[in-house]
Order: sequence, then structure tokens, then C-alpha cells
Amino acid sequence: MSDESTAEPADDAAQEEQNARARLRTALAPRATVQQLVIGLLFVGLGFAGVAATQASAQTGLLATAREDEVVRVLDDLTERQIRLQAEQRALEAARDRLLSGSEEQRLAASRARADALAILAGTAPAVGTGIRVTLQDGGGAITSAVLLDAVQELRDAGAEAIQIGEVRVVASTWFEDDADGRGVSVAGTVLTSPYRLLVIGDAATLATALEIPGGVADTVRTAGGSIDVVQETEVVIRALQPVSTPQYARPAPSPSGS
Amino acid sequence: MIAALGLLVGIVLGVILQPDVPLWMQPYLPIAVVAALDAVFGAARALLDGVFDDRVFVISFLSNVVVAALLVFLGDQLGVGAQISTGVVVVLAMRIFANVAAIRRRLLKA
Repeated sequence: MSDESTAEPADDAAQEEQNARARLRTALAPRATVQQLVIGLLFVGLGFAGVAATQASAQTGLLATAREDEVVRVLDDLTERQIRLQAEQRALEAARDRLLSGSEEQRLAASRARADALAILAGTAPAVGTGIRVTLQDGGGAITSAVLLDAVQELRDAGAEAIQIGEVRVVASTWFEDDADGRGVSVAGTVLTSPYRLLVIGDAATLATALEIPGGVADTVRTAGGSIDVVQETEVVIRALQPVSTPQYARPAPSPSGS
Repeated sequence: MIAALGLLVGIVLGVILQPDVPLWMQPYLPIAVVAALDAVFGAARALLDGVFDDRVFVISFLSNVVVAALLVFLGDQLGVGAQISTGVVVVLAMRIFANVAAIRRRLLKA
């Protein structure tokens, strides 16, 4: 494109070099002509543009000068990173929601509801609800500790939520033993004699059916000469309480979920 | 002489003003600069050959710049801007090398 670069035929080499140096010196001598001014202005533009281009590429950095596949790779990296960060964000938000779920009152209410449920389960609070009232009449050694234990387990299988035998609240640690005198059954240390009265809270029909299954508690009692009487009630009140005992060794452990 | 002065003034101006290159200009400016450099080296060679002409230099300088920018623009429109840029730079760099080699032979006989 530059038309000046037409090669000269090879002359005397030494003479040529002399000429070149002479021309260079001549060119370097300052002259104030319009042409020189125009050339000077062109060079000003060249220097300015060169610096501008250098700084532009330095400022915009990678993306402006990158080729398409490089940009695609950068974009891929960013997308992957974004996916990772979004997963992390979801996990953190879930943790935060668990920590901050609802207001203070809502959390207190939830805690109270949980405490109430646990108190009923542990037998430290009175309970009321639909259920059945069972009366077991001994007929000469028909009712043993095994029969009472069977009854309790049948009732639990049928969904009993709270059970009282006589004046004893039945909880996880309740035990049954035939009394040494043979006159009754010791339930967790309290000796009960016939008739044994059971109060059970749960679905009344299910509980009643559970006691009446063939070969079940009712069959056993009747076969042994005793009698059983099941009454379904819409409101059974269980007032017997299991004394709260502070655990000597067990302490609450931090929940693994961290909530 | 005045060319070297002009170049120096331009560089100083650029450093002082810190110009912001407009976005539409960014693909073309580096190519234009390389094209102008090609014209400059061609002119230097012509000077040593004794065939330098002010008018020809100015025209070749401007046409070099415009043609290079137009080529890249055309390539951008055709979707091969990156390849055209590379091609133009390669060609211009080859010409610059050739001119520098000629200058070196004239001055140093080597």
C-alpha cells in the first residue's frame, strides 16, 4: 500500500550506503514546510492512537480482545460457578429460614405445642380426648401382669396416646409384676387389685376393636374366667401423672441438623 | 525530525489525556495503528532509497489506515471479523518486517 517501497536496482553497495546515510541526515534536519507539518500531524495522530489503543486494551482486559471460543470458555466457567454458588445460596437460605422461621411468638407457640405433646407422651401432663374406658374383672387369677401388659401393648398398637391403669399413668418406663401375695398386679410399684380400670385416649372404635381381636386380651380374660367391659367415650380424662424425674446421666445432645 | 517530534507529542498527549476509545472504534483502532506503522516503515525505506515523497506518504498513510479499518469492518459485517483482523495484522507485520529488513540493508549493509 505504501508506494515508496519500490526497490532500487542494486548499485555499488558502498555508494548506496553513503547515499542512504546522507538522505537520512537530510531528512532528520528540521524543515518548516506544509508537507512536514502535515506529516508531523499524522505522527501526532499515530502516537495518540497508539497510546489510546494500548490503554483501551489494558482497560477492557480479557473480554474485549478475546476470541469467540475464549469468551465461550469464560462464560462456561462463569455459568458453572454460578450454579455452584446458587446451590450454596439455596442451602444457606434454607438454614436461615429454619433459624428465622416465623416470629418469636410463632416459634414459642411451636415450642409449647411440642412440649405439650412430649408431656402427654411422658405422662407429666393430664390429657383429655376421645377414648375408651375398660373394666377388667378378675375371676380367680384371670388377670395377671402378663394380661395387663398385653392389653397395654394392644392398645398402643391401636394408637393409644395416653393410658391410665387405676391411678397409674402408663408411660414408656412403666412395668408390670404379679404381686407377691397373688392378690393383684403391681404396676410400677403400685399394687392394683380387681377390678382394674383402664382409661385410654385414642380412636375409640379402633381401641375397642383391638381388645376384641380373636385370641386377644378380651378372649384371654374371658377364657380364664374373668370379665371385660369396654365402653367407648367421647371424652376420657386422664389425670394420673408420672412424676417428673430429672435424668442423672442423660443430657440433651445438640441436634445434628443444627436447627 | 518533525515526524519524531510529532510522534512524541502524540504519545505525551495520549498519556496526559487518557482518551476513552469509543466502543465502535475499539476493533478498528489497533488495526489502524498497525497499518499506519506499516506506512511509516515504508516511508522510512523510501527515504533511504531516495524516492520519498511527502504527498505519497500522506496519501499512503491515510489510505492504509482507512483500508485496514474498512477491511475489519467488512469482516465484522460478514461475521469473520476476528479472522480478517488476524489476516490484516499478519500481512502488515510481514510488510513491516520486509521494510525493516530493507532499511537495515541500506544502513548497515547487512
